[in-house]
Amino acid sequence: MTDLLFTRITGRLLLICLLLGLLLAAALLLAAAIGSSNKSPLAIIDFVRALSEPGSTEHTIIWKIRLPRVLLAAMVGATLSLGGLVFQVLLRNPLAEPYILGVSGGAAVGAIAGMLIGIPFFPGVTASAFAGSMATLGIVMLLASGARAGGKDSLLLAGVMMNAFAGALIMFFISMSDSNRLHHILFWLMGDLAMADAARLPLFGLILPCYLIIFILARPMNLLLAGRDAAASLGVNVRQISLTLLITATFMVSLVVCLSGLVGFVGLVIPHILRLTIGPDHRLLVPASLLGGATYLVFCDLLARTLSTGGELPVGIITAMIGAPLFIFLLWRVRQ
Amino acid sequence: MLHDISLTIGSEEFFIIIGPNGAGKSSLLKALIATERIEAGAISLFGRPQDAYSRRELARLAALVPQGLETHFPFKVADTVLMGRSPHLGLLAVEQEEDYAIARQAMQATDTIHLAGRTLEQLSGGERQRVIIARAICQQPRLLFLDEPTASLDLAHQIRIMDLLENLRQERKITICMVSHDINLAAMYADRLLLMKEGRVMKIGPPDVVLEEKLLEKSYECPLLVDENPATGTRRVVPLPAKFSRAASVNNQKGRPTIPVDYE
Repeated sequence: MTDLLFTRITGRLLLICLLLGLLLAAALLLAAAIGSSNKSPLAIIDFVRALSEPGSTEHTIIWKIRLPRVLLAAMVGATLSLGGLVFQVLLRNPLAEPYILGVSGGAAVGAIAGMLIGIPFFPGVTASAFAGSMATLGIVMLLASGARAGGKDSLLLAGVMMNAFAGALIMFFISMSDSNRLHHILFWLMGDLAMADAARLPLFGLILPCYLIIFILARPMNLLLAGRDAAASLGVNVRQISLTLLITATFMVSLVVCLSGLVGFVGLVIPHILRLTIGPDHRLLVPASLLGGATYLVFCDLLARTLSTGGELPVGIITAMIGAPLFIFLLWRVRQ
Repeated sequence: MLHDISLTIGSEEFFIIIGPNGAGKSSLLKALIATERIEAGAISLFGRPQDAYSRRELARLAALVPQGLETHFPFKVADTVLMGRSPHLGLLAVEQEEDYAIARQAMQATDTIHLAGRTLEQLSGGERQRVIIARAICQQPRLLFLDEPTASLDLAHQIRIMDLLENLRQERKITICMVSHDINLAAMYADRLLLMKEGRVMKIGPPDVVLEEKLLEKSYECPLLVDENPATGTRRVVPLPAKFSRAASVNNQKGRPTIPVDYE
């Protein structure tokens, strides 16, 4: 008996993964082929030719520079998008996002502090970034939970304030540092994928298990949206599940901040578009956010590399130019 | 918040907790369904200590219809009801035909099947309440807890919800335990009432025993009239303006002016 009342999960999951997977594959191919040396879409042809000629300059550029960068963009996009989705569930607010909540800013403060002290990138800087983001998130949630009325707005306000504070701390650190580090840190701050190198890609070995944990918890994420008591009465161990999601999401976001700096709004844009197109079920949204976020950031990075004639833009500028207006639109619509 | 409470709810009983605001009715309900832990004392369900159950085991035995409904993201009614299957499914398990059939029956029993394709935001208060009851019975519980399910509904919908609960109790052999602000509804449907005040039990028993004028006046701290509902034969409680209070009627030798009942 076919039953059209309910959303059938398995078929839709396969279809969505297939479609978004193809989209991601196409974006990866395009982004690996196109670079500052060859901006036309016909670059694909050169790309295929270059791949078949080991030892050529193009071949080296693609394997040593572009591919690690494109893969980094994909992983960063996937992580930030999924991070946004998780925070939206935990805070029951579709406007929650790692960058807006100040989680990314807190990670950046931690990371810069680590860099200035001169501890090794792994585990030193990543650990201090994680500590920074957890501290920020803790303060934001504490501030927001204190205010009963207008809870949604007070959460955003707390996030904005923590972001401002993190920004001030970052500027303070920068003004204390010597000038040859300055350019590097500033660029990193704006969200920069240029420092991708193959040596750092293994860090994603730490991020992949996070994806898995969140995917496994997709059903409880649906139930959490019904409210704490309702979720508990439906068999969810609310405290344990929320804490697991919170730590997992914050951990992967802070790792990504260490690798790529502050790339904002990905976690707002992608889950929002996906919720509109495939519905609110997190068993679909979790994998879709990963694939969609990856595709989106690969695409944004491609724009960042090719839009400007005088060198390249930090990708964070592109994502903010797309994301911030959407955020304002959503905020306006929530108030209607 | 709660003190010295000792009670047993019988199998398939319709048990209603009443009392003034801040009496601890919802706290007791939360303690019974273990969404809030109690500091001292013990609760057992079907002869087994409550804390010996896992959350999932508990959710297969007892369902909750919470007060108010949170709708943050646009889930469809059918998918909301289907969430009631969660405690019966593993984390990565997918719903089977049997689960769809159970959810369908739950929607038929609550008369919500025609709403299946809508989102919760598109429903009226009464419709939402029935959808949440459908989700609860989709859990196939033996015990159903409800926190003021008739609050903010009009008269027709209040009765509709109460009749629905009575039917579910009889057809599915479910024990019902609910918090209600509406004493008259409670009197018509409950097997037993628990009257609470300031976290304590004032009286527990059949409606005819609990709905006693002096006891209610003491609990609610307002003048009341208790008489018999001529249609149902159950007790009927009407709050009265302050000028009808006992203190006022002592000064006024005529007693309560318009009530043809003898007050010492």
